[in-house]
Amino acid sequence: MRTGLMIALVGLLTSLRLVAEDTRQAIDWGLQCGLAFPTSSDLKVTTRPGVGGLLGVHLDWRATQSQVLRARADAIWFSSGSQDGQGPSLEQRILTQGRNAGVAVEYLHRLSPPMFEGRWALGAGVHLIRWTVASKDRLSLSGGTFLPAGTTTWTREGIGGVVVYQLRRSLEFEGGILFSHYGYENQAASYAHLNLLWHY
Amino acid sequence: MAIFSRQTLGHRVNALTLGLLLLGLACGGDRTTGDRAGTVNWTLTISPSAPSLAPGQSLQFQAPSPWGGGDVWSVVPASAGTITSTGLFTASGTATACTVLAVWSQDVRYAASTTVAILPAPPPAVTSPELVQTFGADQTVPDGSIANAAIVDEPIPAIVSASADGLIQVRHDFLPPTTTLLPK
Repeated sequence: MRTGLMIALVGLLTSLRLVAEDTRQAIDWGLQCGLAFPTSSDLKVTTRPGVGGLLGVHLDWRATQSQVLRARADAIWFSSGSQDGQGPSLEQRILTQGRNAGVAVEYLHRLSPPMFEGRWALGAGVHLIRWTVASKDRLSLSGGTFLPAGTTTWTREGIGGVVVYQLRRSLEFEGGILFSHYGYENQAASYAHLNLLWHY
Repeated sequence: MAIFSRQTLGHRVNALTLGLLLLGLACGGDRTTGDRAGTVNWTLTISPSAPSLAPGQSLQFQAPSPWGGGDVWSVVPASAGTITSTGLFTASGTATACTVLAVWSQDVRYAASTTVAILPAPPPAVTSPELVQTFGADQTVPDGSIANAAIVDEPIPAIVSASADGLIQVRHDFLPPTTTLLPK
């Protein structure tokens, strides 16, 4: 399934590139930055207190007056979290630092009623996300302390929704949510994000 | 030259988007049970748990993960023994207690430990000449031959075991076999 999604993403990006040759005026690109807020319980624990910074690039194809296909790549650096636990003859303290990097294709539909003045748009997209959690473990036993550390990654699919408000021709404000999974137990990992997008 | 008209493009975009959404919904990924990735994990357990060993004895520990992969093994204190990368522990020559630790090589958040008791060495066997003399007292039989005798320093086969009531049972090979119970 992951391979199929990758093929679909590559195909879409290639299609955008080909179409761009003839519809260059309908293509623009830009940068985005913003904040991400974990909403799933497990991600909140891993990234406590749970605010991350987001940076990314996007490529828009305005297929029609009201329809836009947006290909985007984002990277998020979450804040670090810590957890404590106690087991038989062992005390454990874990420091975790989560981040992710992903690509996505979104469909945006501009709302046409006069009250929205063509500034609002709703969208949905599919994402392919590489989650990374760097862990520092402190294991205290009677007689010694161990400090193992390591970084683990998982690649997972995700789906998301966005609401976009066009502040200016070249500037948009975006709010959205993304649902995915991560970890060896494939726990739910979702987060909300608020971004500013600049188009060039 | 335009490849598609704007209206045709719009229909294609709609169909493409619907397909992408359906694909995304189908991409749930594999689900397995277990502890959470972001919390302290006690999924990993070591077996055998809390074993006892004689000095110099070896024991194979295991701490399998539900997702495969190996473990990094350690023993604390290090003077209590050695442990290999595969979990084979060899006790040192000193009676003591120690802790064996396993950390999953794929994710250090998964760890487990167990205590190991290294017991004192068993006492050496005791030779008791008085016991031989006691059982060798009746050494004559009617035909004049000698039976149930032992030459001094000759080993006498015997079985020593502990009974449930706490007595030590000594059984020798003289005829008829005789069992003597001694306080432990």
